[in-house]
Amino acid sequence: MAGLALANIRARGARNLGLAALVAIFSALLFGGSVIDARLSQGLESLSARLGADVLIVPYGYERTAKAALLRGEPSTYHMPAEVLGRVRSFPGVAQASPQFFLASLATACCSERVQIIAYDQQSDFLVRPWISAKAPPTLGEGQIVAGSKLNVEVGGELFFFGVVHEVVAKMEPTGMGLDTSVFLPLESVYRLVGNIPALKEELPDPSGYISAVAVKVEPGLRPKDVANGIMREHAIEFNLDLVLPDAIVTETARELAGWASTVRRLALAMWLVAFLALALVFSVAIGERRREFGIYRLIGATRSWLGRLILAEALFLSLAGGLAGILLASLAIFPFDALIFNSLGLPNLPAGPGAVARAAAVALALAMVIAPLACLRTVLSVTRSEVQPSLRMEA
Amino acid sequence: MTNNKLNCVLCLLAGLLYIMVPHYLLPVCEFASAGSSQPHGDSGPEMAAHDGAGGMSPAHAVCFYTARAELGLGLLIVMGAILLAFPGSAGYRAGILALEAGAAVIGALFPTVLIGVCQSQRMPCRAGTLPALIILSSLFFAFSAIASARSRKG
Repeated sequence: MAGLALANIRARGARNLGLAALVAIFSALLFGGSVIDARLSQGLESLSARLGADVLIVPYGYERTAKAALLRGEPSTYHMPAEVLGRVRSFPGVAQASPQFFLASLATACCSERVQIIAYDQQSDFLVRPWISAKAPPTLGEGQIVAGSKLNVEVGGELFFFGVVHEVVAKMEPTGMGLDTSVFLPLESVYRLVGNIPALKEELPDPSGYISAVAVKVEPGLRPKDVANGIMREHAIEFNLDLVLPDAIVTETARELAGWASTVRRLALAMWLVAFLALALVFSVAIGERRREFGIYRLIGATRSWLGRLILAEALFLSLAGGLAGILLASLAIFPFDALIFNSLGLPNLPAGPGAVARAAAVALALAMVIAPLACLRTVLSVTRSEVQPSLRMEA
Repeated sequence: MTNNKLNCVLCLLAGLLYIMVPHYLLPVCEFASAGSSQPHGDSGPEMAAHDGAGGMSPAHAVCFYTARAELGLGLLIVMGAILLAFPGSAGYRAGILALEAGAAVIGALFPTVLIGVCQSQRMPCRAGTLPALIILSSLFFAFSAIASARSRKG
C-alpha cells in the first residue's frame, strides 16, 4: 500500500508539492522558533545566574551604555571620579563594592574587532573571578589578561591593545552575554594603558583617580532598590551618578523573551490552521476527482476500509515529507547563520544543546504529521461509506 | 520548460547569487560597513593602528578579496549559463555543467581555504557571507553534478 500511496502522490505532483509546502512552512516556523526560543532561554538563565551585583553605579547618562556593554558587548569608554567608590563602600547597607574601569579598543580595519576592555580590582572583585576558569592564576600580573569565551584567541595567545602585547592566561566560561566578547585585566594594568592613549592621557592626567562603575552587593535582607535609591539621594548630584539594577535587566529580558515566544506560538498556530483548512479543502475536492479511481479499486477487490487506509497513508506521507522538509529548511537557515541571527537579536543566548533541538524537532514533526491525516478524516469517512457502483456510474 | 532551459536558468541564478551574496545580500565586512552607519556606543579613544582582537590591518580585509574572487567566479558561471542556452550535443551540455560543478567547489574553497574571511564570529563575513557561500556552493554543486550526469545520458 505504501508504494501505491507514494505513486498516487507523485501522480499529482504539483498539487501535493503545494500541500507539503504548507506543512513545511508550519514545521519550519515551529521548529525554528523553538530552537531560537531554547537558546534565548538558556541565555536568560545564564544572565540571571551571572549578574552577581545587586546594583551597578555608573556616570549619569551611561545607564543604557552599561546595559548594552553587559548584554551585547558593545564597547564603550566612560569614567567618573574614583572617590565615588569610597562613598559607596561606606554607605549603610552596602556589603561589598568593587570598582571597574571600561575601555573600548579600536577597530582600525575590517578584521580587527573592537572589544570591551573591563578592568577590575583583584582585591575586592566578586563579579569577574567566579567565571574565570579554575586553571587561571589566582591573580593577574602585568600584561596578563583573561579573554571572553567568544574571542578568537586561545590561552597562551596574545592580544595587542594600545601599543601593548597582552598574554591571554585564561578564558571566561561562556555567559551568553556581552562578557563573552570582552577582555578582563587588573585595574593597575588599565591605568598604565591609559597613559598610552593620547586622547585619554589629556583627559585623565592621573588615571588612577577614575573608575567607570562600582558593582555593589547589598547586605542580606535589604532591597537593592532601596539601597541604590539611598546612594542616589546622597551622591547622585555631587558626582553626577546613574544606576543600573541587574534584576531589572533580567526582568526586562524575560519580558522580551516571553513576547517573542508568544509571537512564535501564535504564528505557528495560525499556520497550522491554514495548512489544516487548505488540506481539508483540497482532500474534499479531490474525492470528487477520484471516485472513478476508487471504484476501480473496489472492482478489483479492495475493501472500503482499505480505501480509507490508502487515503490516510497518502496524507501521512504528505505530512511526513512536509514536516521533514520544514525542519531541514529551518536547520539550514538557523544553524549556519546562528551568529548572524543572535548578533542581530542582541539578547543573551547560549547553545541549547542537542536534547533541546531533538525535542523541538520531535514536537514540530509530530504536530506536522497530524495535519494531513486529520484534514482528510472527513474524506476517509465519505469514501468508506460510498459504494463502488454509484461511483463508477457518476463518472460514466 | 525543458530540462536544458531549466539548467540554464538555474546556472544563471547561481552565478548572480555568487555575485550578489558577498556584495549585497550578506555582504562581507567592508561592503556591510559601507552600507550602514553601525552605532558603536560611546566612541573609544583614538589610537594607532593594529589595535583589537583579530589580526593585521591590511589595505583591505581578507574577506574583501574573497568577495572579489566570488564576483569573478559568478561571472564565469553566468557565462556558462549563457553557453547552455545555445543548442549543442548532450556531451557539450554535460561538459559545461561539469565545469559549473567545478566552479561550485571553487566557490566554497575561496572563503574557506584559498582566501578566507575574517576570524571573529561577530564579523559579518564570518557570520553571514561564509555560511551562505558554503550552502550556495553545496546546493549548486549537487544540482550541476546531477544535471551533468543526466545530460550525458541524454
